[in-house]
Amino acid sequence: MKLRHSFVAAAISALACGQAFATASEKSAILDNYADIAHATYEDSLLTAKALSKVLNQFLAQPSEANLEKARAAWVAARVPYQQSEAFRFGNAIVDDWEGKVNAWPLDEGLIDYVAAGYGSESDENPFYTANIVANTTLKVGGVEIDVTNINKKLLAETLHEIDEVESNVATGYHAIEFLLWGQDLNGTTPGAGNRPATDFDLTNCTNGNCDRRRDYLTASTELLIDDLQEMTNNWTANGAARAELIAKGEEGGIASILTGIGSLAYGELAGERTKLGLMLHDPEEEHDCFSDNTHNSHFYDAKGIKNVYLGQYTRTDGSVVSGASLSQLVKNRAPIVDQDLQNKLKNTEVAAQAMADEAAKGNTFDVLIGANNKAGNQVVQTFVDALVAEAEAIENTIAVMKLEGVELEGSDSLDNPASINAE
Amino acid sequence: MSLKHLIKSILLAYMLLTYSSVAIAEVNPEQWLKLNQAVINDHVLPNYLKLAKQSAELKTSSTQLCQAPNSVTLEQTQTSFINMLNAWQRIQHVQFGPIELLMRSYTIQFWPDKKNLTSKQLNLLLTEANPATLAPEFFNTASIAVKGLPAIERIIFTDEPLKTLQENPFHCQFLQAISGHLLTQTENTLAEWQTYKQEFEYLSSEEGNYESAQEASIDLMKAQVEPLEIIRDLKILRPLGKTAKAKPRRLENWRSKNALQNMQHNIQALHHMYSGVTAYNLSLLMREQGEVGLADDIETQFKSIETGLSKLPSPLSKHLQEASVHKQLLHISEQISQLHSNLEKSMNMLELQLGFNSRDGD
Repeated sequence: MKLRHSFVAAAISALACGQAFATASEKSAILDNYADIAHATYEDSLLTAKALSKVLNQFLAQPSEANLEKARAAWVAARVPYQQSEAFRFGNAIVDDWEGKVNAWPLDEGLIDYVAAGYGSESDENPFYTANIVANTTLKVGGVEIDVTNINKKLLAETLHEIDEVESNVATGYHAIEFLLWGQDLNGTTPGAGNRPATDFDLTNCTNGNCDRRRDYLTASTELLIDDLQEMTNNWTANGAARAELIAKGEEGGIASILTGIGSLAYGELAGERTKLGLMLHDPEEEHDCFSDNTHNSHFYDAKGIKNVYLGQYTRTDGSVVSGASLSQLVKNRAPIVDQDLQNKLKNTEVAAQAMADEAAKGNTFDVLIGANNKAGNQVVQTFVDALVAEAEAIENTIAVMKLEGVELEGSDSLDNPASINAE
Repeated sequence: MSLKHLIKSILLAYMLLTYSSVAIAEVNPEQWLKLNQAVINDHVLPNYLKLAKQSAELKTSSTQLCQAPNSVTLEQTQTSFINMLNAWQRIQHVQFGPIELLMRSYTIQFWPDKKNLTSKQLNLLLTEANPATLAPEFFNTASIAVKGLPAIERIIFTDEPLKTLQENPFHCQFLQAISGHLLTQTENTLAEWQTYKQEFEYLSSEEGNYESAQEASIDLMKAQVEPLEIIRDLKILRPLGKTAKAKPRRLENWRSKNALQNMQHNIQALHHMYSGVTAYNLSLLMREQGEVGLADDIETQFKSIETGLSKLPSPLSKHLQEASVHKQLLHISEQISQLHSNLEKSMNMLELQLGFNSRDGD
């Protein structure tokens, strides 16, 4: 009790003495730096996607196992900056509306290509569950016929993606490409990723049929990814639409958007949808990168993206650093203990994410860790969830501190009442 | 004192300094305590009792079905299933306390199942017919997709359930096993609430789960406010779709034709929590704070949504694609939005901050 009272007293006296309030230009500098980091992160995503495209062309020219491995490595490398960009998704409508094109998940991969018998033949949710575009030139669903003779960017983006309003009809983006490069992971919750043979893309020695159409699909989906990432990179340039949208919210509204974004990613999306659900379903496909078994990296860099935004610092793919005015400093000026607490929580999350990556290095990838009866593995994943939940609470605390400076949080879509100081 | 509590205290001090001059008619701790007590004793506990009772009936009737699979025992089991489903719909909104333990809430009902996992995982288990998967221990670690009401529904509401059950005794044994697991979970939930309810019996505490009665009210009020968005988004708008044809199979429990009844039970339960608990309730609290107009509006909206639902044809899955039904449902979804926004208004008025919810980021 004594300790608590003395802290409260200290806090009150600090406030009464007129502790330095953030000036308008400080907040404006935070928004600028945030937009600069967003631009750099999307530009790195674009550059690594272009590098992936280059390696894919070499693979298609010479579809050997060695070249397929290179292509897979390029895909994994492309995920590093992209996952860090997810901290910009929630809170910026322009990003959230666009995101489904590049990173939609989970997907019913039977829409795209052949699947194993265990996948099943029908779904309550999706009449296109086993449409198999690679093998079919026409689709007949519900009496309607769709011509899919030519696999190109237009077909994937405008006709097939989210066809029939089913979200799991994912025809484009990282995960469609991932499925083409790895194929289904048929190892259940035992070690091992998808194992598609390189000859699935070999015109002279074709396995599993329709290699020409599979090649077309791979090329078109990669070109689309580059187009989409170019668009988002442009959005964050000095005159870009995303930057303008952020600035238009005003300094306080902009800060609210930033906090909304990182809080929503940490809590509902990463802790909930992408991690806890998998732990409850024990299903090997309930992992974000389910074909490649790269989920540990995707989660690690998602969490890192949150840290980048809060600390106002991003290390680019080429090693250079973008940094500037940070939220952390702003919070620290108002309530150092709240800032320190969030910094600690960010560190805890990173440690927990690293523990999953360490397990993956030993062969215990995310799908192995979430298996039923893998008590130790389940705990490793649960620790990550707990760390994110604690992190979200700490973010709520910073929002409470900000609100006291008059930040109006209304208008942030995904947060109902972010100023809670009591929510578990 | 934990760091967490320390930070809360400091933030609270800031809040007081900022708000004390403008706050009108602050709710006192005794009012929060009274609200918590009334809602727990006259709403939460009776609903969990009912759920456990219906769960026991389902266990009994599925046992009888497996002993003698005929049309009478099947029908009994289907009725027990609907009764338990309805009881669940009346307490589904409470997402804290013992129901959170061991993922019980998800265990009872994993839905919506966007990846078709119940079908995939259940079919695999039924095909393998491994006796080990009938043991209670199996269910402790099994996937939530195979151990709840949706899995049972798939077994007893298929095209020809009786024929399937007669030809495949394992299907019936697995049904019995799930019913047994659900009974354990609902009975334990009820039993643990006998202890957990003590968390709602104090004004403030250093050791308890909540620091104050007001903090305890937050959990209860989350249960009052947030489920409305779930009903609107998942149970109405998602099946309706944005532009394409409506999708009846996206309705909750379309197999047992209970989608509409589910929503009616949901709204009635939230309405009961709001103003039907006679000892004390949110509506009375708002009136004491002078917010009579808002309290009346909310009451009217609950009634109007109930009337709207009662006018819809059942089973909803058969009529979902009709233009008039589409229009009625859209209207109800708008009414739910207005009700939700008024309840949020009341939370602001009472200075209760509900915080992030798990659907943020969806």
